[in-house]
Formats: sequence, C-alpha cells, structure tokens
Amino acid sequence: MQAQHENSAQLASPSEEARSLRLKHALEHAAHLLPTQGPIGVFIHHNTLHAFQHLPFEKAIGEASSIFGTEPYMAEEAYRQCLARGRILEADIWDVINREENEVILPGRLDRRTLRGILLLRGQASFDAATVDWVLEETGILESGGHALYAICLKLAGQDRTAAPSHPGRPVGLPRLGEVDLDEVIHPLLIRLAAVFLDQGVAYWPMPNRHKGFLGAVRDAMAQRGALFPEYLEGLDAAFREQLERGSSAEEVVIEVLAQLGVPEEEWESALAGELLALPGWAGTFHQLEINPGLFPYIHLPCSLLEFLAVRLTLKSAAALGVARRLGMGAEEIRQARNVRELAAPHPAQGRADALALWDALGRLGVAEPDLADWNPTLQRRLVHEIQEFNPLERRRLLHLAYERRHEEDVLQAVAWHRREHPPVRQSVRPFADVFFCIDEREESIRRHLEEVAPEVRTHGTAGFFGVAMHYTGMDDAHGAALCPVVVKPQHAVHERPVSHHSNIHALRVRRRRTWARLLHHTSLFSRALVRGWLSTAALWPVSLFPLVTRVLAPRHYGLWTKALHRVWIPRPSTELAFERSESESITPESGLFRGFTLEEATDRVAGTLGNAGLREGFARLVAVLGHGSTSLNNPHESAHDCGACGGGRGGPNGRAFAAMANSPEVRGQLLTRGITIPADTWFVGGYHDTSNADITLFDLERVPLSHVPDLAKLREFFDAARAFDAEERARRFEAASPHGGPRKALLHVQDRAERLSEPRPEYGHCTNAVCIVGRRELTRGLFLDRRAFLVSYDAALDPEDNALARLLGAVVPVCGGISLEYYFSFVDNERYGCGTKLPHNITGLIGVMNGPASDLRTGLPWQMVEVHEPVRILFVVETTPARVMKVMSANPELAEFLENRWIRLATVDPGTGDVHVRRGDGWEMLSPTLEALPSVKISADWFRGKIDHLPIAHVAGPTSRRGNGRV
Amino acid sequence: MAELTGPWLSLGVGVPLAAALAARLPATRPRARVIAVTASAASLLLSLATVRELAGAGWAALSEPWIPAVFQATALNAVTMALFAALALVTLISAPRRDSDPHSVAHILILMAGTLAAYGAVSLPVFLGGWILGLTPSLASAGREGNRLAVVESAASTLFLAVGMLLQTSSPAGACMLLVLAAILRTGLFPFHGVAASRLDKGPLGFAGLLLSAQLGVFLLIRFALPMFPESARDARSWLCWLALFTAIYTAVMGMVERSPRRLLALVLVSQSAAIFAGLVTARPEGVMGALAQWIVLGFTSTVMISIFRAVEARLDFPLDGERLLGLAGPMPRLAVFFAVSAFALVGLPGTLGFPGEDLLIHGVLSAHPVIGFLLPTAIAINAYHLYRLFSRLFLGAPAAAWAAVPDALPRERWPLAACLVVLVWFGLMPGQLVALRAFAVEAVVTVAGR
Amino acid sequence: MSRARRPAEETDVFDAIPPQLLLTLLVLSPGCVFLGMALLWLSGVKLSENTIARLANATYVFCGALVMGLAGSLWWADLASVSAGSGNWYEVHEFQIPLALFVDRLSLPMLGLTAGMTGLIAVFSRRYLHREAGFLRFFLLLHLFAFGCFLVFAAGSVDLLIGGWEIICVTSTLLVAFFQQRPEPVKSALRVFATYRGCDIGIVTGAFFLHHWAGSTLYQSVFKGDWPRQSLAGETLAAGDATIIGLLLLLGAMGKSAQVPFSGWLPRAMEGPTPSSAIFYGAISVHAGAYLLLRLQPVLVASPVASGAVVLIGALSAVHGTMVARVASDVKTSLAYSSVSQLGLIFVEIGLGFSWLPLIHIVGHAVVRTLQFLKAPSALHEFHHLHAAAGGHLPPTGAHYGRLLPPRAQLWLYRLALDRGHHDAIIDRFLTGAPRKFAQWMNRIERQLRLTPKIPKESSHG
Repeated sequence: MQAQHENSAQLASPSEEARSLRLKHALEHAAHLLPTQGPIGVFIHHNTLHAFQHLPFEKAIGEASSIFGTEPYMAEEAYRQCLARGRILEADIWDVINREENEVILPGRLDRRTLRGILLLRGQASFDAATVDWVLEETGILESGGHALYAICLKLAGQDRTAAPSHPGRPVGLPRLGEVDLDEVIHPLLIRLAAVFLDQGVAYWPMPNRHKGFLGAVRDAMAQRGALFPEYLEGLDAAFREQLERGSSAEEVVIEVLAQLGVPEEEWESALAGELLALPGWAGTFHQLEINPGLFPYIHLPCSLLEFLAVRLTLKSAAALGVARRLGMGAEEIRQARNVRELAAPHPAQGRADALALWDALGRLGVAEPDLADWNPTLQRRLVHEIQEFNPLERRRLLHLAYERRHEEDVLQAVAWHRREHPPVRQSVRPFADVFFCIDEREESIRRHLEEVAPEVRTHGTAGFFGVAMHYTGMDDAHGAALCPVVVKPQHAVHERPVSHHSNIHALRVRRRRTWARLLHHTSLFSRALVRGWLSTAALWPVSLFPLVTRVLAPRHYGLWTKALHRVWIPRPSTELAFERSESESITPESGLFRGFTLEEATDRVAGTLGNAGLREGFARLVAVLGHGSTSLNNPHESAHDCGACGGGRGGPNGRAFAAMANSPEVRGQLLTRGITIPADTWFVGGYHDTSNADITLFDLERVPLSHVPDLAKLREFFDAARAFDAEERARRFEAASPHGGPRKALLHVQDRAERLSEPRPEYGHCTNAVCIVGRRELTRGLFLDRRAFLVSYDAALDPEDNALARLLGAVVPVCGGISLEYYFSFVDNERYGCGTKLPHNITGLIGVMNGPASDLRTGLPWQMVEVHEPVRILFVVETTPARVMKVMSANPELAEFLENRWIRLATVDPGTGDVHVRRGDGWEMLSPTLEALPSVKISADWFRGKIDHLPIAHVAGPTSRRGNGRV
Repeated sequence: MAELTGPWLSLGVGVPLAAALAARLPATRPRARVIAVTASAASLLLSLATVRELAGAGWAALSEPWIPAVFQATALNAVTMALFAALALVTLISAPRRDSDPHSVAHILILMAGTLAAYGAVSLPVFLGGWILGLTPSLASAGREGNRLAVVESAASTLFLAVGMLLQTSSPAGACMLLVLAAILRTGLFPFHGVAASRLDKGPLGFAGLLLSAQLGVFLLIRFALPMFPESARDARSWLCWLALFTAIYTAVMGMVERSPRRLLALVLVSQSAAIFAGLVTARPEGVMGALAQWIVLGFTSTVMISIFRAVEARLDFPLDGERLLGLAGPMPRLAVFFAVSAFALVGLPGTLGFPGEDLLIHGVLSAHPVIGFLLPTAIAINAYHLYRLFSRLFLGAPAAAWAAVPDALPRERWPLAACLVVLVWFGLMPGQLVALRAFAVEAVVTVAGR
Repeated sequence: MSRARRPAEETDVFDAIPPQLLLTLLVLSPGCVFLGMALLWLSGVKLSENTIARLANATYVFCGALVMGLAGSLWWADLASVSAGSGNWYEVHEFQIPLALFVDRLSLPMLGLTAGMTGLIAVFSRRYLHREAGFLRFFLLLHLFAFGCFLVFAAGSVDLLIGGWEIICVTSTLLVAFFQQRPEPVKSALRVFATYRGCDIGIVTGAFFLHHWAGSTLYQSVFKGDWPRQSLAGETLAAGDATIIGLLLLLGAMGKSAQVPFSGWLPRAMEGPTPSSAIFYGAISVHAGAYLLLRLQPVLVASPVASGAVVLIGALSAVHGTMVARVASDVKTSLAYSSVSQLGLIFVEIGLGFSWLPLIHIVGHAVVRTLQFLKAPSALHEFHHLHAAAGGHLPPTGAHYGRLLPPRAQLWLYRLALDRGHHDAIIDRFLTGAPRKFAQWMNRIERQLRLTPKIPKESSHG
C-alpha cells in the first residue's frame, strides 16, 4: 500500500495541465455512466444502458448490474411461474440449452445440457446461509432419509469453492469514514442545493446569484457567517469562504479534495464515478443540462457537472474532516480510510447452505447416495462443480432466453400463418378513406377497430411526425418546441396564427388568458405567502371546496365543466398554420430557423412519408393524418405518454401541417414528377388522437370542400365507433373499469381516468410493447396484436434500392429499440433502473421527481407505467429478405451495433414467398411453420372482453355484416 | 386462616420442578418441550384456580392445605403467580426448536418453580429458598458464559437477602437496608442496571426475559421489606423513588448510544422496571395500581418481544447489530405487527393496558414528587423512541431477497403471542376489570407500605 | 333564536335517536372497522381492494350522516353541547378517569371536517393506491387515524383526548414509513415519532397538573359556559398554575402542529403517499394542536404569560414557515412550510383570544391545503399551462428581496431560510445532542468501572 502511495506521489509531479487533462478524462468516463434523462417535462425514451451498447446484451447487463448494483433479469421465481403457467414451454428450454456449449460430465450418463435442462425444468432451490440452519432444524427437510446424502454433500460442497467471480464491481468514492456514512451526512444539503439551483419556478424566492453557476451560487450562499451546521459539517462555511478568497476554480477544488481524501490519480476515474453514482439522478441532470442547455424548460442557467462535483467534494471533505475530528483521526488516517475495504468473510453457515443446495440438486437429478458414494472423486468433483457453476444468474439467463424464444415463436408462427392463409392481394376497389396513424403500438388497436368498423377504410403507419420536422409554436404556446425525433434538429419554424378575420377574437383570447394566468399565479403564490395566505385560507376557502369535492368524486364532470367555462370565457379563433415560405425568404434571425417550408421542401416531406409507406397512387377521396399525444393529470411523466417520434411532444400539428402541404395544388404538381399521383378529388385532413382520453380532433374542417363534407361526417362516425371499441380494449387492462361495460362505458371510463387527480395510471403508455412489424398492412391486417406491435407501413416491392427501408429502419430501430429497452430495464429493476412507485413522488424544481422531500432525482419509468410489461427485447419483423435487411443494417453503424450485440431481435418475412427467417447468433434460420390454425374471432372484442392478461395473437375475421356486432 | 380447597400452591411449584427432572431423563428427551409445556400449563391452571378461590373468598389470604407453614395465597401473589406461569408457558411454547433442548427447558422450569415458590412464600426463609432455586440455573449458565457480572449480582443479592434475614431481629434498620439492597440489585436499579442488560445480551434470551419479568426484587420490597420494617421503610421510600426515577431516565438516556438491539431492549426493560419500582414505592393508590398494571404489561410485552426476537434469531443467522435495516416485515408481517403492538403497548399505546398503566403510574409518581416526577414521562418518551427504533431496525427496510422464504409466525408462535396481546387489549379496553382484580393488592401495598 | 314552533313529529326523530348515541356511534365506527379488518387479516382472510374501499366509503358516509344528525339534533334541541358518558372508565380511589364524550360548537365542525376529509381521502386513495402492496395497511391506518381524530375532537376530558392523540401519533408515524422498503422513509418516520413523543411529555404532564390543581380534566367540570364563551369554573386555577399548564399544553400542541423549533418533521413526513400527506399534514392531524389550545383556551386566558407564549411561538412559526416555503424548490416541502406559517397564524389568533376566527381558519386551511396536496403531482402540468397562458412571461417572484435588502443581508437571509432556520441542527446538537454526549461519556466510565460488560467488537460479516 505504501508503495502505491509513493508511486502516486511520483505520478502526481507532472504539470498541472496533464492533471487537468486527466481529470477531464476521468470526469468524461464517469459521466458516461450517468443516466441520460433530461428534465421530465420532455420525456424521451432511450436505452437505459446506452453506455454499454458496444457490448453484447448479456455481457452488458451483467457488467451494468455489477457497476450499478442492479438486477439484470427478472427474478428466477418469476420465470418459474411462467414455466408453470405455460408462458415458457419445455421445448423452449431445450431449444435454448441446445444452443449452448456442451460437455460430458458423467460419461455415458450425463452431459451439461441434460444437467442444465433437468435442473431448469425441475427447478433448483437456493439456500441462503443466513436461513439454512432454520431450514435444517425446523422444516424437517432431511427427515425422509436424506441425511446420508446430505452428509456426503457436506463434504463435497466445501471442496470446490471457487473464488467469487471477478467483475468490474461498483466504483467507490469515499462512502464512509469509521462507522459514519458520509453520503448520508452530505446528501440532504447537497440535494437541497442542487434543487434550488436548478429550480425552474417552484420557489418564490429563487436562489441568488445563479448566473455565477452552481459553485459560485452555492459559495455565495454557504459562505455566510453565523449559520449553525449539523455536527459533522461544522467548518463547511469556512471551507467555502477559503475557496472564495482564493478564487479557486471548480477544477482546482476537485483536484485538491481528491488529494486530501487520498485518491491517487490512477483511481480518479473510479472515485469520480463512485461519487457521481451516489446521486446518479442529480449528477446526470447536471450533465445533460450542461451538454444540452436547450433542455432547460423555462430558465436557462449555466450548468456544469464539474461544478456539481466540486460542490459535492467540498461538502464531502468538510464531512470527512468533521467525522475525523469526532473520531480523533488525523489527515493521514482520512487518506488511509479509502483503502480499508471491508472484506466480506464467508458466513459460517455457508458450507451448509451450499451442501443443502447440492443435496437438493442431486435429488432432482435422481442421484442417490449409494451411486454418488461409488463414483471416484474426480467424477464426484466434476458433477459438484457443474452443479455449482449453474448458478442463479446463469439459470436466469437461460430462462430469459427461453422466455423470449416463446414470445418470438408465438409471434412469428402467427404472422407466418396469416401470411400463408391471407396472402396480400392488391386491392382493386378504391378505399373509402386512407388514415395515417403513428407507428406507435398504442395505435395498433384503434387501427384494427377502425378497419373492423369500416372494412373499406385503409390504415397506414408512419412515424408520427409524418416527416414534418419542425419547430412549432401553437397559438396558445409561450414558446415553440421541436416536434420531431430527438436525433433530428428541426430547421423550419411553423406557427399557428388566427385567420385574419378572427384577429380580434385572438386578441381577446390572449387578453383573457393573461388575466386568467395572472389570477391563477397569484392565488397559487398567495396560499404560500403569509398575509395573503391568511386571506386565501381563512376567508376565500369556500372557493376551494367545490373543486376539492368534485375533482375527487366526479372528476370527469369537473373536466367537462371547466372546459365549458373555458369555451365561454376564452373564445377560440379559427387558425391556420403559417408554414409556406417563398424561396427568397431566409432564416429568422433570432431562432436561426427557416420560417416555414418552400414548395420544394414541402414536396420532400410529403413524398418522403407517402413513399416510405408505399403509397404512390390509388388514394381514397379522404386521407386523414392523425398525430397523437396524451393528456393526464397527477402524472409528472405525462410527456412519456406523448409521441416519441415528436420528441415527447404531441403530433397533432404535424398531421395538420402534413395535410395542408398535401392539399396544396403546387405540392401535388411537384409530387407528380416524383411518381406520386394524388387524384384531384382527394382531400387530406390533419388530426390529433389523444391516446389517454380517446379524443380524436380534426383540424381545418372549415377548409374541407363541400363535396367531401358528407364523407368526412361518415369518417368521423367511424372514428367515434372505433375509439369507443379501442377504449374498451384499453379498459380491459384496468381493474377499475367494468369488464362487461361495453364500449360506451369504457369510453367514459378512459375519459374519467384522464381527469382524475387520484389516477396514477391514466394509460399504460408503451407498456407491453414487444414487436415492430415493418411491412405492408396486409401482412398484419386481421391480426389481433394486443397493442404490442409497432406497425410501420413499408412495401418492399416499391423499394428496389432499399432506400426507403434504410430511412425507415434508421429511424424506427433506435426509437422502438430505445422504448423497448427502457421498459425492459425499468421492469426488471424498477427501483434502480426505473423510478419506483409513483406514489411518494414529489415534483422538484419542475425538472424531475424525488421520492419524498429529499432524494435523488428519479429517472426511468415508474412502476405504474411498467407493471404489466413483459420484459423482452423488441422483435423486428421486416417484410423483406434477410440479404436486403442485412445490407441496410450493416450500412448503418448504429443499427449494426444494435443488431450484432443482440439488443434487438430480428426476423424477416419474404415479400414474395412469405417464408420467415430469424436472425440467430450470426446467421439466419428459416422458421418451419408449425401452426395449423390461429384462433379466429369475428371482432376483437370477442377475443379480449373480460380478460386482463396478455392475449395471444388471434385472427379477427371481421364482422359478417358490416359493423353488425357490438354497435356503439 | 381459611384454606385453599386443594394443594394448588405446592403442586404449582412441584409440578414444574418434577418436570424439570423428568425432561432430562434419556427416554423423554425428544419430548422435553411437550413435558415442559404440559407442566407449565398445569401450573398456570393451578394458579388460576387459586385466583378464583381467592376472589371467591373476598381476597382474604388463604393458606395451603399441605404445607401451610410454607405457602400462602394472598391478594398480592396469586395474580402474580398466574402471570408468571402464563409467561413461562408462552415462552416455552413459542421457543424455537434450538431452544427446546432438555437442558434449556429444565432451566426455565426450575426458574418457574423457584419464582412461584418465592411468590407463595409465607416467610422470608421460604422466599429465600425460592429465590435461590430460581437463581441456580441462572448461575449455572452465567458461569458457563463467563458473565461475571451476573454471577456477582446473583451471589451478592442472595447474600444480602440471607444476611438481612439473619439480622431481622437484631438490627431491623440494617436488615431493612440489606433487603432493600437485595431488591435494588435484583431489579437492576442504578448502578446495577448493567446486569440485566448483560443477561439479555449474553444469556439464553427466553430465560433472561423470564428472570426479568419475575420482578422478584420489587416483590421482595412490597411483600417483606416494607411491611416488616415500616419505620425504616418510610424513610427509605422517598429516596428509593428518586433512585428508581433516576434509573429510569438514566437507562433511557444510555439507550441513545446503544447499537446492539438486544442490549437496547434490555435497557428499555430495565428502565420500565425501574418505573414500576418507582410507582410501588410511592405507596399512593394510583401509583401502586399503575405499577401493578405495568408489571403485567411489562411481563406480556417483554415476553412477546423476546419471543419474536428469538424467533427472528432462529430464522436468520445474521448479526442483528449494526445500523442495517433488516426489513423483516416483508417476510414476517404478523411477527412485525405483534412486535409493534407490544412495543407500543409497553410505552402506553391507547387500547392496550399500557395506556391506563402509564397514565396511573405517571399520576402517582407526579403527585408524590411533582418536580422530579417529570423524569418519568420523559423516560417513557425516550423508551418509546427506542422501541420504535428497534422496530424499525428489525422490521422496516428492504429484506434480503433470500429471506422471502422465511416463514411468518408459525402456529406455535402465532397463537400464544396473540393470546398475550388479547389480554393486553382486553384489559386496555376495560381497565376497570383489572382495577377490581388488583384493588386488594393495592390496598395491601398501600396499607403496609404507606403507614 | 327561537325555535319554539318546530313541528312535533320532527322532534320525535331526534328524541328517538338520542344525540349521545349518535356521538358514541360516530367515535366507535371507524375503530370497530379497524378492529374488524385487523382481526380478519390476522386470521388470514384476504380482503379484496373493492371490499376494503366499499367498507371505507360506507364507514365515512355513515360517519358523515352521524355528524349531520348530531348537528341537526343540537340545532333542533337548541343545545350548545351534548355529552355522552358512562361513568368512569376506571378509578383508583379519588383518581378517576371518566369515559365521557362531548361535542359542542367547537368540536362539531372538527368532527365534520374529519369525517368529510377522511371520506374524500378514502375515495381518492382507492384509485391512487390501487395494486399497491400496502393497500390494506393504508386503509387500516386511515381508519385508526379517523378513530384517533374522533376521539381527540369528541373527548370530554383531556385524558381521553390524550388517547386519541397518541393514536394519531402512531398512525402518522406508520404512514410516514409506509414505503418501508427504502431507508429514508424509515428514518423520517423515526424523526416524526421522536418529535411527537417528545412534545407529548407536555400534554401528558399538562393533563396531570390540570387534574392535580383543578381536580378534574373533564371540560364540563373545569370550564363553565358554552363555547365560545367559556371560562374557568370558579377559582380553581391560580394564574401561576394556569401558566404552567398552559405552557405544557403549548409544548404538546407545538409538536403536533409543527411549530418552531419543531417544524423539521413536517417536510420529512412527506415520505408517505400523497393522500396521507394530504389528510395528515394538510387537513386534520396538524390542526389537532391548534384544536387543543382552542379547547383549553380558558386556561390560556387565565394566564397572560401562556397566551403570550402562544402568540410568540405562532408569530415566529408564521414568519419562519413563510420564509422557508418561499425558498423551497419542491412542491411538497413548499406546501408543508406554507402550512406551518398558516398554523402559526392560527396560534396567534388563539393566543390573542379569538375563538371563531381560528376555527374558521382551521377549516379553511384544511380545505385549501388538502386540495393543494392532492394536486401536487400535477404541478408540472399546471405550471406548463399557466406559463403558456401568461404568454411565457410570468412576473418574476421574490424580486422585492433584491430591492429591499442589501446583497449581503439577502444572501444571509436566503441561507437562513434554506437551512430552515438551522432548527434541525439546534435540536440535534443541543436538545438531543447533550444527553447523547452524556450517554457516551457515561458509557465509557461504566465500562471502565465494569458496571457494564465490555462490548465485543462488532463482527463485520454479512
């Protein structure tokens, strides 16, 4: 140890610059491990383990679980239950095991695959050292003649104790000194400081001097004299004052404290990671806001991870000194403290626990005591070794693979069957309407119901920003927001404006809204103030009584009532989108964005979306383009339910802009030259589908030609019927909804949920997503996919060069893969990868949620959002050939990484023959169709009504008479 | 003096003693627990029969038909005997297998026989006999564990008691002093509070708990020391009360730096015993009644808590020391509830006997010593904090995943412990019944001690 | 007011059901529901969420009806108060604890508030806690809490009130530790419990002295007249005695109502689920302290010192609360300290001798704050809409600090508010720190004197 110190002393001598570079490097490395979630107001789904994406999935989650102390898979018990209820079949276990390496254990009698198969299927009990004595004493486990075998096991189990597996392990900062947990000492203060610094408008009195950055603002406040500190933090003000006097930079502070705490330079990386991972949420937020200041929702602040670290380490150094003072330790002892790592001695009963586990396994393998005693020691040892190697983690890995395999098999067999029985045929009849939805799996059900209600309607799935990446400012918005996938930087600004003859209404609206806002703002501040608070609580309280009672007892009516009031009081002008730009106009100076789209650009957008979806001609008379989003109360994670393709925004304006572009005769003219023919009698309508309260709003209805008005009315009827059925299908998951209430009641139910203050799960969001099918709608039309499949319209026949496929997969794989993985991790370890239960969440600074009054900023998804999820990696089914899809995938490094490291699963359906190929390892296997028939029902409701669990895929034949059954 | 209709007292003492011997016979070893449980149940029934007869006779003392010179049933001792027999029974039934070997079981039975004999004693020599008999197993085990403190305490208190008895006539003041000293030692008043703590810390838990709930020191005081030497006793009462109050607050404060759950529990129990002591020596009706009620509360709650503690220790071979939260409420919700209810009951949870008990005790002590009496509610508040802390440490937090398989209260634990709580709640809702049951005992104490 | 012409048949209704019965039923019903549910759980019966929720709804609808019936019968019979008692709960010689329930114009609104709010919270929680592991536990504690509150508000004597008071203490603590898997709620609950129990010393000894000097803790014997025009009966209490009792009761009330310097537990109590924060720390529990002082206001009136202390503590809390609430950047802490400041004002009103005003203030504050707590998770949603409606230009807040105060003073004051007046440090270092130091010191001495066995070095395995 001493040698190490000398070493580090020598290393420390080089120039300041080298050290600063080293610090920068260490910080970068540590920052890499932090969660990448920004402020919660714009929630963007991403792979929780993005930092590990360069590793194969199974290795990555293993490493991550040792670094973060998390669970890589579900609990073994959960898989066992799946096995018991047929969610995993015996065949799946054998299939998975037969892909693993094999080795003979007992010649002629047992090999590794058999051993593992038997143990997985028959179950294998684990025993904990702490409780094994109780089991032996009180349960009588050995009573039925097991003592002899156990005696041998006791001898054998101890022989082959392999050393604990070496893994990267948790990075350590300086967690404790003596018996005092230093993090516990500093966290309350640090959290409070970080929260007031980043606050976006909760505090009436914002932190002074925030423009100086975190370190500057904290120093100014904390260096004040005359404060009384908790015992261990005595001297913190002096430390900050000293820094102020010397004018130390954040970097200098960090380097000094690291030296003081005795962290040698070569351990900086690990120490900094340890320090930052002690509060990953706050550190991660500082980091995200530093690298992307645009994420600040309201107030922009100079934000820096290094400064956060500097404040943290100043606190820690003060705490270490405080504790050392109390324990009578010197400076050298503080430096030494880091090296005292507690070595976990094995539990005295560990041998018995191992022996009993071995005994149990042998019993399940059918090895009896006389057999075992007969074999020679080498064989005995090999057997014991094999059994012990097959540890819980390994078992969970195999069980998980089997779990995913069953899912894959079910989906692919169903798709193959459907492709075989109902091959796509080119429609000769012109559809009544084409409706574009987002690819979102939540739209799968409404598409299906729309098609069931009106078989003459055709639906399409394309990413919900419809190619129109824009920076949009609505009439009621304070600022614009980007409505496009996060990876895209919008170049074009679009805003909503009142039509010219309504500008007076608009002015009135703005005025009244301002008044309303002022009133509301004051009342909310009032109640927290002293004298004004007296007024509002002692005198004006009856005003609160009505909302209190109605919002709890009759929330939907309260919502209707306030909306009605709004309509009367705050009139709404007709509006239009300002999206056209002549070639000459250029960038708006303040935002650096183009004002709207030129004809050429608009044509690009329309052609791109229609072309990718494989729609070039044969348009219906009406084309509806529905963006989506979600409204709910009591839900800090509201925007996680919005459209991922719109960057966590709501896609209504995109649909509206797209429709307006596609209706423009100039654009249509240009489209002709690109091989897309939109008939003159085709009219596009933009719209918005709220996936929470099930509203469908259509825009610019006053511009619809008279000839199309009756058609539109009919389409809206279809929408109304479909959304009610869709609500019913959604409501099947909610225990609060009556299972046999029918569509109308279900619709009221989901509307009620969206308005309820007490509802922590207004909708389930992307929960249960598992599949993404890229192909023609005919491939899936008539399949009940249980809202679990992203559906992307794509026609390989129209894409000989695979350009459209490359564009589609380039967007869809990261987005859907990210969603799927975020749900995976938030489900398997909800407390650490996710943000736990929502119920104690407390919004802080309008940027995130804490548990209770002071905790880490919670990132990831809450339990209420993921509880019915099945954690499987998403399965992409692309309607093309393996060769073509591989060409596209390997050309894009991000997709290649995703695929090769198996963060996603991939299969193809041959567009011509319908053969299904599955990607396994580095090769492709052809799926042999085994499914004879898929359960078939007339309408979806026949399949789902009254059921709450996941449902297998079924075939929905469609009502015999049009919209005959189950009318709304 | 009227007689009991049967030899309930001598049988009550004799049966456990015989069972203690029987349990160690080779042939009966596997069934040691059954024998012990039967014997203590029989003993409990016998003492209940005594209570019933006594109540029928208007709580006047009844002598034992077989050996009237040795045992006698009075308003003071009958209920106490029934209480102790019940506690021993609960301890024996709920003990884990590892504590039910013939050796441990015999210890408890001997303690039971000795304690019951001491309670029933007509005279000081008999009391001394019971005292010594009860301490034998304790001495044996303390010697084995190297618990020098406990050995010294047992020996010293016995010595004081014996010498006091001998000096009875020659030097009443000195004798009184010695008897009081023996009582102080046995109760563990300052500065001897460490003894009980060390017993619970090192010794077999169930046994140590019973030894503590026997409250033989307090019994010695009110049954013999105060009535026999009324003159000296009156002078001693005030400072005894102050000493007890000081002990109560002192041990409570000492608990603030205690990390071991066992010792923390011990300190709380000693503190509460001291409170009982203080209530009795006030010799005011409400104080004495409060003390007698708290005696019952302390007996039941300590038995429940210690049984649960032991049940947890048997299930988990895990060091309970340290700051880690064990989270056992997850796998063992019922034990957690039992523990919480009894812990809160000990410090006055409304709805249990603890509430009227503490209420009366505080009233009695405060009215006797309005200023210094303030220490008592303070000590109880601190003890409440300790007990809740103990509950948090054991039952709240996240349990290790492997512990999920550990069973909750087994039937043999669930029902006896629930019965204890039922008694507490029953009297807690209807304290009038207990007041009626103990009125004559209070009368006895107040008249003999408060003269 | 003359109601002489009331129709005969309507009197019959209330004659048939005596208000005493209504009152007894009201107090007992949540207690019985609690007991029943607890016994079912112990015997292994699993209640479904629906059953639990329906039972809760029925209970509080019933309680609400009882309160209304009570109010109706009081009004019809033109009574200022009703008391229901069945003699003594227990008595030892002269010391008697009567079992008396009592309701008058002060307690009736509190009972109504409790029944209504608990009912609303029960409805709210049914959905909020759906599928939560502690669903049953929450409702059990909610019923027990309602029982405790009814006992506090309907008690006829301070002794009985203490019973309810302690039940509130236990249920609050267990609800703060509701998410018991994480260490923070457990620690916070311990802090809450310690504060409660520490301050309860005041109310317990206060009750004793009231008993001692006034001879009884029964309101009807100690006070004469009807609320709000009550005064001490006779010359039972000397001013000095009243001062001691008043100050002790104030100590008890300070704990429950989170007044300075004990306000630190209130934000910590926000570890529990939102509805429990709403009912405990918004609606009912925090107002119990104010109710206690209001109930025993005649004692305060008799002692200028005690009244002065109430005003002082209230004023300090009001200023402290509002300052801390202004710098708090998370929604629940901000609400918690806003509550502290309004409770401080309520204390001031009580100390100044007002009666109706603090009562109305309590009810109003409970309503406003409960709504705010229930809306707390929607803060983001609401702020977003507010911000948009204001056109992105919300008036800056807190600017007057910049105008009025020099920068140094600003920073100093900000720091003071940020650290919540350093109250926690004061308590930890002096109030509990001193005995802790003493214990450490004594521990060392004891070990050297061999009065305590040597502590074996703690084993580190596991």
